[in-house]
Amino acid sequence: MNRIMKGAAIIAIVACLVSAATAADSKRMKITVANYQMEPTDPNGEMLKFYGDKFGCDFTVVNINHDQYHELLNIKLSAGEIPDLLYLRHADTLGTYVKQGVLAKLSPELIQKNAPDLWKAITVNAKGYMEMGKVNGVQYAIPAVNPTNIFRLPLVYRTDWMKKLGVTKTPETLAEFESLMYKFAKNDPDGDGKADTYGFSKDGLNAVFGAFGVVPFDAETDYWMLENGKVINDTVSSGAKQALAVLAKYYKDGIIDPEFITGENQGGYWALSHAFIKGRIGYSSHGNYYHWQTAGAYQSPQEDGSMVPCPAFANGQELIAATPTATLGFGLPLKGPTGKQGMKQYNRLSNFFCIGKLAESDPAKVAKILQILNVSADPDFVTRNSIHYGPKDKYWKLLDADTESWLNIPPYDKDSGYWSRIGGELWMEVPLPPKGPREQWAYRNNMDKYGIESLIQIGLPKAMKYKAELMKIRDEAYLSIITGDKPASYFDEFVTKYMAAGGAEVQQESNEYYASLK
Amino acid sequence: MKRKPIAAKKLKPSDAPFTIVNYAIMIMLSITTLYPFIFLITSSFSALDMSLGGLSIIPRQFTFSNYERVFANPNVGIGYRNTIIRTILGTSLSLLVTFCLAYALSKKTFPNRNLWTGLVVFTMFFSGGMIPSYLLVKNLKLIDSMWALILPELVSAYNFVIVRNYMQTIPQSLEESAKIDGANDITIMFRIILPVCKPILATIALWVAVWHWNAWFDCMVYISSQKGQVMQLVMRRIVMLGSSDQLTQMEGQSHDFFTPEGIKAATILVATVPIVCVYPFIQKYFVKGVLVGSLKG
Repeated sequence: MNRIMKGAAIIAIVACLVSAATAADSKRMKITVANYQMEPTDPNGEMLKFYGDKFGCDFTVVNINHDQYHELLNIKLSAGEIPDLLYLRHADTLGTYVKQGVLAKLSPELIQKNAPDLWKAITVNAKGYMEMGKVNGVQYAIPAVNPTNIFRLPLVYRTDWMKKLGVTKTPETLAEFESLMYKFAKNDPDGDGKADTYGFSKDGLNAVFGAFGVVPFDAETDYWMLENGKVINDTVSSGAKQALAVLAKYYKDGIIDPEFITGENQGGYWALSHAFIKGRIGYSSHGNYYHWQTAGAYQSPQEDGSMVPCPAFANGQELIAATPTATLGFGLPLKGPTGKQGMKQYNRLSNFFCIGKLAESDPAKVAKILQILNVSADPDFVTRNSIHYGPKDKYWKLLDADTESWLNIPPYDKDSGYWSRIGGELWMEVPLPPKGPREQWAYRNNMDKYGIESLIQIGLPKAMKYKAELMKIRDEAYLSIITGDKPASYFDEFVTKYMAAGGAEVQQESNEYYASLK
Repeated sequence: MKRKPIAAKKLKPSDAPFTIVNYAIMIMLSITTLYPFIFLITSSFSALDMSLGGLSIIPRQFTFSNYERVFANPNVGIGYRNTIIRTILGTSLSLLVTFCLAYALSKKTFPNRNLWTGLVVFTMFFSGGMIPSYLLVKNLKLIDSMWALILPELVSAYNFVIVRNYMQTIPQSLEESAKIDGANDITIMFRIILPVCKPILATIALWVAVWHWNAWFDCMVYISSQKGQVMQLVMRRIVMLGSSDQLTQMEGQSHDFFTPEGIKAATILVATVPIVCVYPFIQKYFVKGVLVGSLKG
């Protein structure tokens, strides 16, 4: 026991001496940072030193494991340790932290003045997102907006099947889609003489919903839209009702894979659509655009100026591995009978960046933190890539300035967490338009067009409270309408039930919130 | 005691169905238990891009690259070192303190014995919760120190009760005879009681060691520096990365597409195999010890 106490005492004394020593020889402003990290940061990290000297302050990164971020942050907050710059991993938590008095008040003017590039990047490229950082009309947070989520889900077709069936172009309207799906299901596109193919499965539902302008049946996120001047959940919209009637007909005619309820992925890497890879269905929207990249879909520039074809990835790779003759192609979102045209797009709001309450009383500190965040939106690509990935030519090399193509230098190409060790946490995600070869390929395939975004991208308190129950009611009703257990007219009855179970309360909350952003 | 080999006993025809069903169930149970392991081993030897989708026993493209990447990660070495230190140090201190405490409180003559026992057992049912524990460790200035992983868990009330109960079954006469031979209390404790308690100490040593080996949450809360991370936390970090699309999105810009399934599998094996290898040896020892006991002579 003595030995332990001695050990503890020695450590305590050493710790005191060390902290006293550092306090004595530095009068620079101290800024503590809690951001997303893959590994703990070295307190003497290269980037912390570099930007510390540049901005005349001492940065300390508070190491918080990212997958339990909020639990661990809450412990630290309750012990009075509020980081000066903190990121809210789950955007939904903003309201709670404001209520607890953890966050400093900001203002649009303050952000605009100290972080002009950042302000411009967000307000120009992501209109309406800056307002999402407001609570009760006061700006508390700067939104981190995902730059590549400007691309909606892809509409992927088996083009070799289409060719066999004599269809030359991918569908553009729901009617064309319907005709192709019936052919996929009925005309034996794989030519094995067996009726073992279907038009689409679970992820195909979104194509039909999108033709009515809604995303009502997402497994995780509620999508909100304006209907008749009111904010409503896509789930209870008139578009969803019309789409369900169409889907019920498809299901009855054997166009939808009867196993659609369990989804297209059968385990392993989440983005794989096994139903598509194995040739069970001819259409899918599973995963993101880059999960459908086939070998040579685009060319990547190299350092010497030459171009190299890209490798295949995920579905694009596995499909060819399973059926070497298979080909795939992308289509536009479908135009529906009511003139709507769209497809689900992931929420672009990733997280929030806030300033801790303890820094609020020091305007110089607040200004400095905003100036640091501004570096992530610097017009110069090398500058803004360096704040995250370390100095150019040491950790990464620029392949092509025009397309902003770059590559990590070995061994950092195999070391995904190195940037956290050197202190790359002074970075935040900024919605500058992506220019990389892969993204240009996405632009060429019109992935940035006709995306359907949710009007509200954070979970409000009541919405979170009722979410599980409401989604359960929704899933039961939707599945029974699609599979024909209940007629399409059951939808109105479902809406009444949904509203009574908390849906009405959540809708009112959403309308109030939406109005408060104005 | 000599046993006849089982094969020598003739099966009665009426027993056959029972035996067949028995074997069938046991084989199925073994497969369900072993399959995840086999799957992990297979994935860990599969090429990076080949572990996507599809199950197979033989890797689709055999490679050591996953292991190379795991061992190239400097954190794995740091994690191993810390895990081994905390396991050895934590287990030995825990044994020592639990043994002393249990011995004292197993004595009927110990003043206020029930009060002290009650206080220890109380912690089994009520804990301070995460935030008070954090504040305590913080105020003891143990944050970022190995002691934060060892001291708070030094005495497990459950282990203490087991050791104390075991000691209470030791006949008083054993100690009395030692006293007659002129041994003092310390000698009795270490020379007489300790050897008798070996089986129970081996049992809780295994429990504590496995607990220490597998623990990660306390490290995540109390240790923030890279140098103090334990293996399970390093492994967890690598494994959790693949559970969302984070990795591909972040890596996307640098064209370094890869699916971490193979690396995940390799890391899990690297972190698990040592304790799995140790387990059967200790277990064999302590099962034997517990069964035979040491009160025979």
